[in-house]
Amino acid sequence: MSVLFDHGGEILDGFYATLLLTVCAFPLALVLGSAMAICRISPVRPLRILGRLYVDVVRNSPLLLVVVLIIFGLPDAGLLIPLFWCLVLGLGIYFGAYVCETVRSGIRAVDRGQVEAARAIGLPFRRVVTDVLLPQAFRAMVQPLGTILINTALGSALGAAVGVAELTLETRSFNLETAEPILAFAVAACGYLAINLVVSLAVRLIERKARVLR
Amino acid sequence: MNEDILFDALGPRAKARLRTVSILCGLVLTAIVVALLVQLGLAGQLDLDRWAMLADGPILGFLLQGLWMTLVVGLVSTALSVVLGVFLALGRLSRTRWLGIPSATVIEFFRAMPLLLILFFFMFGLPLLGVRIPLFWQLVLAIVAHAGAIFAEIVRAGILAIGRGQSEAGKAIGLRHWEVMAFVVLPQAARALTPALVSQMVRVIKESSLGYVVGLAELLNNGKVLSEFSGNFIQAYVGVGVIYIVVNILLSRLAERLAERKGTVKPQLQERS
Amino acid sequence: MTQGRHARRDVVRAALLAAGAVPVLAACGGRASARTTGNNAYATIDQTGAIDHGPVGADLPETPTLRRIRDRGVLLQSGSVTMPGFGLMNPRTGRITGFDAGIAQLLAKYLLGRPEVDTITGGADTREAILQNHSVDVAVSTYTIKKSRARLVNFSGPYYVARSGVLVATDGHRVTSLNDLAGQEVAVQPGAAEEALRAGCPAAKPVVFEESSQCSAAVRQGRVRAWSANTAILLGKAAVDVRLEMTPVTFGSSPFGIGTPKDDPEFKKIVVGFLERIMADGTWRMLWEQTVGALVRTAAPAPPKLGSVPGS
Repeated sequence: MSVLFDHGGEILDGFYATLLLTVCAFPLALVLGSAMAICRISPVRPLRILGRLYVDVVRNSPLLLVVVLIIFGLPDAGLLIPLFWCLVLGLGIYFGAYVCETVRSGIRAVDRGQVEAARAIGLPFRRVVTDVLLPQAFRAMVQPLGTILINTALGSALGAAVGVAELTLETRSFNLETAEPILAFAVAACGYLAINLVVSLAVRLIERKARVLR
Repeated sequence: MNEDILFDALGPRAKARLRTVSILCGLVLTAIVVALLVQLGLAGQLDLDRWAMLADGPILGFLLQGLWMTLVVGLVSTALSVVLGVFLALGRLSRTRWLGIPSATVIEFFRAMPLLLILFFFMFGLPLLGVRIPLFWQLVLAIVAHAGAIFAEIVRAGILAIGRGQSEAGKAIGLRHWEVMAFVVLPQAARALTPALVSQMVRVIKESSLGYVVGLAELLNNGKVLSEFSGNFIQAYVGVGVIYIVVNILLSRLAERLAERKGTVKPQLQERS
Repeated sequence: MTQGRHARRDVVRAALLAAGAVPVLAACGGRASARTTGNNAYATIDQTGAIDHGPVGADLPETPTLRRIRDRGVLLQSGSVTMPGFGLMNPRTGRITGFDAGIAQLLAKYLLGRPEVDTITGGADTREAILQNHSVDVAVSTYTIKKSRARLVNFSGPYYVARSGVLVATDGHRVTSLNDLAGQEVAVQPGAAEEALRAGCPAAKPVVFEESSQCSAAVRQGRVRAWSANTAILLGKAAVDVRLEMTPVTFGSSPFGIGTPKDDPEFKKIVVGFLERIMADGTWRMLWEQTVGALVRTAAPAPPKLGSVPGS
């Protein structure tokens, strides 16, 4: 157990980095994904094509490939950003595609009668979207968005493959230094389980709140 | 809901305005792409001889060998994870507690673990405990543990979506619980789950790219070898990326076909990456 | 449905457009390409001559490891396929070229009569563990002999002594002595290079990248100040990329040994005997000239003295 105290700090730093990566990447995914979803349902054709291309390309590429290309390809395109933010960007772009599809299917899930009714009583387009469409779409999106948030946390483990010292990488070096694999991986498992648990609880809470709105 | 009902059919003036906006957007997007390409060109990344290697027979063959390994890992892992997923789902739905609780625990545990952590446990943890697993199975087993748990939840949702009347009818004619599951519920769930099966395969193919980390000669790993040998980093990875995208899009199209032919509604199962 | 077909057509068209654009733009960028051409030097590394020259062992004592290798008919080596000059796979031929790969092939020929080697890559961290549990027979992978490691594995060697060098971008800051690296971020690969930097310049901040091309990209793009590695690797890169240059700084000495399982001391003696043979009969020199020599372009040094390092 004493080894845990010797190396506990590094594991904790790793856990903190995992949280930070998640907390930075998920909003990026939300913003990017929502923007792309708007592009995809807009009547402007170049934007539709952009949205569709984005989703098709990103959802069919491995996350690791996206991250590696951002880290070593982007500088040649004139953008040099720190490793940590490369990973954040990679996670944001990758999971943004899933957010985009979630938002779209959330909107699809709203009964078309709702929109027709709103338009029939003469609501302007903006209020149809903000007062009728989105609140109902949101309800269908909470659960999948929670899943995407958890997946973002899990995806941040790829930091270990590209040299960002997050929980999985720290676990690996902890394991190699102490030769205590059971302990090392059990500690890491607790970290990821905790993230999963917190997000699941939050999702349940928000869903309950959203149900009251009905 | 179809997005079209959000707007009225456009009148001539709106149409003209839309055309202007479309052209503007197109121009802006083109400008961004061109700017990126110019930057890449200045860095020498667009030189023809850097890209020519992707058209080189032996090198293409090398990448396709990697693709073959990726597909083998994908098929084996999909098959195993589907079997595991069905058993875990049935276990979780069973009414005996000593089956239900362990199944639920396994599902929730592996769903919460990053694949790379599981893989590291096989790579770095197990050898210290004196266990040896061949490279291929390190990767496959890690994927199966992770993807199997995810698929279990998809199967469970599929089973729960089958009307209760079905299983009640089965019980009414005197079938046991497992008989109801095997002969009444699962066959119907399986039909609805066919598209989910293909997206499972797409997910597994993407996950098999972690062969890059263990050094298994799959597609991304061979892309890495190619980039080390040639020094053409971006080109090797873009080439590999195109192969992934083409293969996965073909698979997804196949899923759509299957869904249409079966005449089933696409089940509203949430997809996990 | 019509909507779906519509969108599909869009995608197809966009994809065609994108696919068409790449070669066109590539053709536009085709000027001045000589300066950035790929690493032709790596394609010229070929150690088959040295392998053909290599000896076959006679009257070797039967040991557990040797029996396993002979039953299998192939030597399992822990090594690299992405380390220029030491173990680099040529995707065109599928052959692994380089000094370490050559040593492993020669050892296989010595033990089996044929240079049959399976190379397991998996990183620097696992070598002790996979030797201990017999997942591999030998580790020939720029494996630095160290006393602490010698408690877990047997080392035969050194068969090569590497010095670390420092590579910088031509438009970057000058590095004239090891002290210039203090406080700077320096790219290293895990294993020998990382250990040498930590020992040679503790004040530098090592940034670990798995692959040598990632290190060179990081230097070229300015993500790190310098890249420290084995001089042979660095010279090889500098020779093919004019945007990288060698500095005169060299430091440390990493004696590379062949790692074998701890529980088979007889096998270690066989491997030492093998190294003595190839060093004496000129095979070692030939191998050096055909691999590392092709990158550094100097005369071959004298082979290191076996057993001269604590732990070997």
